[in-house]
Amino acid sequence: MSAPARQQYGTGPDPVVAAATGTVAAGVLLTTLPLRSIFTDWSWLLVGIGCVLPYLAVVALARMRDTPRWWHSAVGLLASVLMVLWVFVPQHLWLGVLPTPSSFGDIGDLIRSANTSMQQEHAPLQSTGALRLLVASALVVLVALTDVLAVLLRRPLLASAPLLEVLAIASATSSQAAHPVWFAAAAGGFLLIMLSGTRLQDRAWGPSVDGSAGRLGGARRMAVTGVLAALVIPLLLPSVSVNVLARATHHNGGNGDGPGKGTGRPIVLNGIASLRGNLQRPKPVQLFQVKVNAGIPFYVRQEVDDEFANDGWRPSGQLGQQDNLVRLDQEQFDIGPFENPPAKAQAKPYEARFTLLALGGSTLPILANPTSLKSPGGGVWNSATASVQDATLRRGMSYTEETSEPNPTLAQLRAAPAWVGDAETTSRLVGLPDGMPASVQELTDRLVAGLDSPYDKARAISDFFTNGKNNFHYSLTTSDRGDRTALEAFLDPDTGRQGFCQQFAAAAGVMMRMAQLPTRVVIGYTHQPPDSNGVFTVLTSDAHAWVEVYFSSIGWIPFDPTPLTGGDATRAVDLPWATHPQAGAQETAEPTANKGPSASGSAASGQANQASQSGDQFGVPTVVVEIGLLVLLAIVLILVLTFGPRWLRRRQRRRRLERARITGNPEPLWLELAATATDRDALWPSTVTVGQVAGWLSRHGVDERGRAAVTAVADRVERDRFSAQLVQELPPDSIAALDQALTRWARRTDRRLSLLHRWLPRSLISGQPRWRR
Amino acid sequence: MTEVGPSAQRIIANIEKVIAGKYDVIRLGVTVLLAEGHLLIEDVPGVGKTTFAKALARSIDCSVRRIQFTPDLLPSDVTGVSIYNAESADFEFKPGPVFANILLGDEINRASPKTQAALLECMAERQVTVDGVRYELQSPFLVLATQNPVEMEGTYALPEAQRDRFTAKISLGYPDRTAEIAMLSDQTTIDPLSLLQPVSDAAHIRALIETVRTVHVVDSVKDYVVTLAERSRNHPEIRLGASPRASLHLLRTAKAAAALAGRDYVLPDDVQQLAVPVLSHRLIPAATATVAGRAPEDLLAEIVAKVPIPVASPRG
Repeated sequence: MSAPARQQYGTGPDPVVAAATGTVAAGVLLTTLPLRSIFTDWSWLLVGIGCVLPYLAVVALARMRDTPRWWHSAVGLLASVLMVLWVFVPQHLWLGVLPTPSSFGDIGDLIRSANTSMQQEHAPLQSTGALRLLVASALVVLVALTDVLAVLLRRPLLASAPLLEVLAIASATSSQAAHPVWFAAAAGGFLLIMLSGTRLQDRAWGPSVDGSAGRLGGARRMAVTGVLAALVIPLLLPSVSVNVLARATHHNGGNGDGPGKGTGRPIVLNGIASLRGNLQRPKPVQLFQVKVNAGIPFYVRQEVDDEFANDGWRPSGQLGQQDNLVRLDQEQFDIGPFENPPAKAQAKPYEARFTLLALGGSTLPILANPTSLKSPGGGVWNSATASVQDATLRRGMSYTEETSEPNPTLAQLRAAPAWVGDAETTSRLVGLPDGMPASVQELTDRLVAGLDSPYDKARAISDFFTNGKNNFHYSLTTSDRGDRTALEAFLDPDTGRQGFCQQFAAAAGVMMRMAQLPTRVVIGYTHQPPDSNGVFTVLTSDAHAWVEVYFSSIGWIPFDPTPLTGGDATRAVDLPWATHPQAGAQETAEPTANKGPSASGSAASGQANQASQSGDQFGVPTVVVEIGLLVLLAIVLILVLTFGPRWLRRRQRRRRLERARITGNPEPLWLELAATATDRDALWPSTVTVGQVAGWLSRHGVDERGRAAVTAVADRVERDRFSAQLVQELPPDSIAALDQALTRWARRTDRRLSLLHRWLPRSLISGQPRWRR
Repeated sequence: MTEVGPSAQRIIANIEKVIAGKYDVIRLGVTVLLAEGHLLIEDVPGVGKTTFAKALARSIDCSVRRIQFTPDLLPSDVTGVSIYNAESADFEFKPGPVFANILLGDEINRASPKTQAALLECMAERQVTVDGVRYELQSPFLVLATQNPVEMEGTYALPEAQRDRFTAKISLGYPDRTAEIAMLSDQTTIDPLSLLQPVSDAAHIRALIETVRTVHVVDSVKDYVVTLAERSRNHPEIRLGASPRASLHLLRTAKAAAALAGRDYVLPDDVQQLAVPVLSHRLIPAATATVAGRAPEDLLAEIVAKVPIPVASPRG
């Protein structure tokens, strides 16, 4: 191929070449779209297009009048450079057009300024004039270079190489991944350039001889595959925040705001459990590592919210009182009157070593009920919240905690008496603000009706949320309704009952307090089971919220009301006193008003629920089902869009042939023949007679057997149209022969047919052959 | 309908014994005969115009008369004349050469317009009126006239009325090389014309003509014929377009062509194929077309290429 590679364009202008100039430029602009991830606005692109236009205008005009020449591109580039100067440094131009030494000084200043802002600022950033100058200059050079390579030299593959730099810059500069749409656009642009260049190659050297479809067909197939891959693959990569898989497998991750912004900065946990909100999940970041000497400890706690107000739980001011605080520079310390489990025999002792990775702030993550803690970062133990505050968390800091988690038996818990305490403590542990919704109180009363022990009440309320029958499901958004409180909205069986751990913990906390149980909401982290060395790593996505209920003579006992299902279930630590109910469990199904308290839900509705909730029963989160359905829908849509038109055509043909077979009328056959000819862009003109059609079609790709079949049908059509008697019968083999001939013809590759027309048969759009109208 | 094709083929094959390699022209001649038309053969001397006419005449066992048109030929030499018969003391009509089944008019454009005009009534109405008395001509009646397009000196161009009465104009053209060599070997020893035997007779031809008349023509094809004629009348480069008689002739020949092809119905294809030979000699091109060197045949071909063929099915 080396000899034709040096072949020049033929003399004289060629409209295809002039059009390719524009196509290639459009391809380059599409390819630069991923740069959007660097900037917060679009002005860089608009200015860039403005600066590229002079080049395009000059070159396209020249190519409309002449064969492509080097000097056309040189003049075009000069025009675009003048445009750049006129846009960015108009003040020192001679006669308003030509640059002067001062202009270059101005340009130098702008470039220095752009350099500074690139070094000091982090992307994404506002496109300033200096940055716009850089981008516009780069665009001009890229368009000119690509145009010369793809159009003048007809080297589309080589032309695409400089554009790879754009992708590299876009992905290297910004900490945020560019939106997949921009990459899809870039892929489209890339392939546009390839297609355009290949078309020019075909034009100059003739189509490739090695395949029926030739180079252009190959490039088209590649274009379609490339664009589809660019659209679909990013959606499936688990690391990208917008992709469907990431959303589907996203964990039950608690407090979403905060973690993950900027890997270089410490991450601080937001210690508020709100009843409303959206969970945004950036890429998970490792916060700290824990090594335990035995067993599987419960969740790692960090903060405690003991006051409910304004649709959320937050720490109350009372927790900072001096009498609750113990400085951690002591070897051993008293963990306070409420934290010390009296049933020491049942306690599960652990020694845990924490190593901080990215966690910042001032509260130490710890396991509950520490018996010994030595913190190099200082801090004070708050016995009222069972947490360590005022410490200084540093990356790499390690500390060891000895802990004795409560492990009461069910009998011990059931035996625990109801809370009795002084007014102030009761208010602190059980109190709720005035004006709580009566409906929630009613619901709580129904749930705990007939239950005596505080444990049974707490269990009933916790199970209410985790029992799949009650239709609570995990979701990254709450269903927000303005006319009610967030609590009512969350508990509404018709419109709500979706949220993430904050809402479950917050609502359970409120309902438990309504049942007169001393309750608080704990913010911390779930974790995977420790590995064989007893090590587990906690990520930002492990953030979680749960509740603790105080049982007299036992202490604070955790309950996790969030329904952890599917993959998340592996991160749930099973609590013997609050195992999540199985599918068949009836006792905590939501009581209906007319059925009275608790116990047995309606059998009929139970079955119905069971059927409708099967997704939950098998541990598949609803969101996965939803996304699965969406993916299925998308696949169906793609299939329908891809194959629908051709399927319609096939059905149309089947029906026409059938009609001809039944009625003996040859006209439907003729109509089908005309439709296929239309699809193949080979419809005969209106001046061609029926008898001449076979000859016409054989010149347009119908084979010899097909010609005979068409002739046979044409004979019938002529007789039907022009003789005294209508044709009443058609030989079945002539119908079959025509069907086969048309099928063979439709399968033949025709390079003249565009991808669009192969996808959407023309006859579907034009209906009747145009000469029939 | 079935016997028209084979009978015509026999006549064509017979004529081909004399004129080789001119199937299409001969077929057209036979078509015109079956369409009850008249044929004008225009070509340069020596290509076999007269031979063709004679061969056609001889292939059919019927009366054939020949007139050599000359400038001094009189109308009565064509139609016949009333002569006083002394015995009966009355004028007696002596029929002219037109009283034959086939009239061969050689070099028709050499006669004066007066004499040419003598043929008008014969050709159109198949009768002769002499001295107020009408004489029916025989059936079938076919005028085969030849004329030479190159040597115009001492000739009288056929008047439009006369041209319009000829159903079709054909040109034989030069034979191809092999046909010409074959002709040289055949005709230097004997005259093949003299060996030609009739393969049909007048009665048979009359029967065939009757059959042709029954060929079916749907309205859309009639509409197509009229559209072609209209387009020729409205064409900017044509001064005089096709007459209604031309439409009639076109349809009749189309019917004959359909019958020849073994069909009992006319197709637009028949009309398309016959449009140029049937219509072209009747058209008078405008000065612009003449200057541009566009012959009536070209203009007609252009019209045929532009008029959509009828597609409507009678089923609606």
